[in-house]
Amino acid sequence: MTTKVPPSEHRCVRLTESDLDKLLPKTALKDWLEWASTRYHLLGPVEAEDGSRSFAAVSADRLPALDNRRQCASPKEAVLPSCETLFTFDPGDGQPRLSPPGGEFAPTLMVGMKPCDVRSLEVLDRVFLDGRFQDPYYAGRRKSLVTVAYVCESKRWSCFCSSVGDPIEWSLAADVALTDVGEAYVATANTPAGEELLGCPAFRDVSADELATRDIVWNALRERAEPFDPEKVAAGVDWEEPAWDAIAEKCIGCGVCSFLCPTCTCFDIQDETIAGGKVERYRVRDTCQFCDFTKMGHGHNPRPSRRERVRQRISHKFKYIVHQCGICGCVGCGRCVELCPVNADLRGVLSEIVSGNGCESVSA
Amino acid sequence: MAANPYQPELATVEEIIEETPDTRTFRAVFRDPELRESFTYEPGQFQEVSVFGVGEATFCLTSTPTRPGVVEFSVKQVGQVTTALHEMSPGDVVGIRGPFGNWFPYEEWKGKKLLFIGGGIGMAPLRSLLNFCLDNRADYGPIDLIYGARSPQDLCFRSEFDAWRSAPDSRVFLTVDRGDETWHGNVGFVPAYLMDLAPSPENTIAITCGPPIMIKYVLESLEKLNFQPEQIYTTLEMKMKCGIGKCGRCNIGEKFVCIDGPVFSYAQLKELPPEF
Amino acid sequence: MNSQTEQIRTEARRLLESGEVSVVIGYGPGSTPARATPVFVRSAEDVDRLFWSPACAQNLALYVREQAGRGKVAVVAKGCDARSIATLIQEKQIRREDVHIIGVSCSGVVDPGRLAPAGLDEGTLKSLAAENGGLKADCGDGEVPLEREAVLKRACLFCDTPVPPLSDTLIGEAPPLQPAADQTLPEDLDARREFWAEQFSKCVRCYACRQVCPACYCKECFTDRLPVGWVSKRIAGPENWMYHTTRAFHLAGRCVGCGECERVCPAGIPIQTLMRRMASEVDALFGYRAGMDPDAEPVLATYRDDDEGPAE
Repeated sequence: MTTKVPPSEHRCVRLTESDLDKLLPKTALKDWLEWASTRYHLLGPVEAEDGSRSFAAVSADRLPALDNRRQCASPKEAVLPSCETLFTFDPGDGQPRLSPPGGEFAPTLMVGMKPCDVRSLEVLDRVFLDGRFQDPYYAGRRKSLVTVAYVCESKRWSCFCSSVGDPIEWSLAADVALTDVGEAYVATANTPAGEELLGCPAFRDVSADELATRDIVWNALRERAEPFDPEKVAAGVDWEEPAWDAIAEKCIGCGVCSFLCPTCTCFDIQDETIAGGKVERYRVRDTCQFCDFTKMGHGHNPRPSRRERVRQRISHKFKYIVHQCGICGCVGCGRCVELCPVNADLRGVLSEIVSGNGCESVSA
Repeated sequence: MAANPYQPELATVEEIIEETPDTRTFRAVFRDPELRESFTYEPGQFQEVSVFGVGEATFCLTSTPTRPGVVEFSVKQVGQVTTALHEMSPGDVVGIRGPFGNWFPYEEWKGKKLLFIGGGIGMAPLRSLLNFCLDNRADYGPIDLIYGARSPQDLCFRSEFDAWRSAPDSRVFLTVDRGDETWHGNVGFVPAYLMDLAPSPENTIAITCGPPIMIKYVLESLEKLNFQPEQIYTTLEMKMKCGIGKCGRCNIGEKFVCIDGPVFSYAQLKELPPEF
Repeated sequence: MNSQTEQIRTEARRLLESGEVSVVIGYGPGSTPARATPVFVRSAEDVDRLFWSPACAQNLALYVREQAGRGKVAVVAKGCDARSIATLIQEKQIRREDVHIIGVSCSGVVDPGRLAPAGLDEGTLKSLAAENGGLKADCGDGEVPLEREAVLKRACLFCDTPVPPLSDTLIGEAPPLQPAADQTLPEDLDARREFWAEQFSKCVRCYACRQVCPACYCKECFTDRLPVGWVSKRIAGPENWMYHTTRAFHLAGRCVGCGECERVCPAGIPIQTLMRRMASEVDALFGYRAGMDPDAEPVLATYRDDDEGPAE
């Protein structure tokens, strides 16, 4: 990837020995999940009736969808719920007090995270765990999370992970990485938690042929399809970039890109009075694309039009966060490309920024 | 500070001082007696003050850490939370999170002349630093304050002007945009008064805070007076929510005002995109 | 190139060359043949950026309000889009003389999100075309017909204005299609409430439905009026319900059924089912359908002595 960044301290220690590859026959996936369900609450990509996918409870009877045929909602909900209570205030008749939300974070296993989604957790870790302050709500959920990556058998038309980094390196930051080699998955454990997961009797020894097939899948995924280099993008993102006007003209400010992006986590904090005169303070998903995101009490808004807000999102994602956290904010998952109502294809925008051509048509 | 930076400490409003028709200064004490004594901060830092049920808002600490036990913040009534605060009485409970942000690099300013230039409620963060420096008088050279407001009634902290004037080697220059029959001081905008007074930039640090339009002209004036960008400091405000660099709202370019600010030198400001 | 594309370009060239309009708002090809993207053509040399296909899903009336304030604009409009423009004229948001409507008869547009559930890989799609009311696509093995019901924007299946009722230029003819019978909601009110409770619980309050709607142009939406607190920002059942039902009432008699809200919803909520229900209620009570006549008075902004009163 562009900037070489060390794994965060709170990640489990990476195993150095490589006696960590095993084979899981596809028919044994349910056995592994059964075994794991005694240790973890299981989440994985589940397909709804209308064909949409999101991370939901999986089990031996409800297997996760392990393929890249459909776009899946991002897993950020598991570590950063779209709406959560921060604390409750009780005026208490002269004895006011604050109480935490309560509840515990159960050990959770997320099976079937694509490399881009695994990488997104690294980005979130930097934002919420690093720096002067640590976010305790995020930290609690994150510490209880064990991840199993699914290395995509192929890219979707909208994927551009390999343009922003190395999807295989990303997969190896998960506790276990699964690669489809036909009738089975090669499972690669990368951490002590991952090694423990591979202790399940459902796993077999892996052959050299199977490892070779895995490597073919890995190399195919690493191939770079899109022509942009994130370092060039970061350098090219300019305050007066003509691209902003072109995108702002067609962008409708709907915020879908932010809501679906696995690394967009801006939030709002609000108070709500509930029964008994108590007050609940909650935080809720927000986006810099909303017109009042930066509007101040006395009415001044430094980002009054779509142009400033579009500029903010892209600059933050590709430039600011690199300076703030040492990591590119985009993981190339393609959700914004597939879901933008006006097809303001980000890949086209980035190519224009790099080539400095100004932007007539932002579709690739 | 609590391990959970989102959870405030409870404080009781001890006194509310009406500075101007729309500005009040709140003096609050933490309900936890240990915290009351141990709470400390640096001049220039800010807090998130909660009116439970209404919300939170950002206020700079206007008190000085050299006078512990009470925290003070000044509130101009402009929106929801500030209106709710203005409806409070002594004895009411608020939440306080902080201190957050960076602070005035006063260590680097020892031995220098300090020029404070304030407008309206912009005097609030300056007051923290001013009283801090006056409490450490020997550390600093001559101290001048130029302070202006729309009218005599809009000047804040009037009860302290005499103390500021009478401190050793300290002067106070007041001005108003519009005078009245009681006003015998200068009449004119702060930047214009600054040019009239024409302070020398030698070994001087200028710290300014006030309405955006005033800051703009003050910066221009200071440059005309040959102050270097590194000699000029200000404190910025942006809409904030978390105050700890997580919610993504208060950034100017790659700087978060809540983490990398609110105190910035003019040299730093020049490197930021013009988005404030 | 299909004949609509050619005609749109010819008309755009004429309008721009003569200086009659300063911009032509139309569709350009998107990232795949199943997608289009809004384009703003300001010079006759650039009219080749415009095209027409069953991928032209967006309702371009959304841009007319902003752009028409600066001078006369031309806009490519399907039946529903033209009705949106008529609604904006009725509500005095734009003047009739500030917009030149290039109307295009349409037999339905594709919702790209429905392709994968219909078994089509958008990544292999080479072409998409309409033919005589039907659809055909080439995924690499030659053109095959597509089932309209499976891949069109759901709202298109219920469309009864395939020919724009308002236009300055009209391209194409009425397709040989009939609107489908509308989905019935459960008769039992408890069952219906349960249905909507489940649907609204999926809402993530991204407000894409509001942003994409040409009729939602309030400078400050009721959801943003926090001091009043009509609906809190909390993402939860009761609040989501409040948002969607209030918006449905705000759009009563104004929604033209273009279905963009439903297409862009990332949570798959059948918003149009609610809007169509509202539209049929307004039609039954007042004999009024949104956007059919730019000179008509907006139904819920008008009082008549013979208006039907509340049920006794």
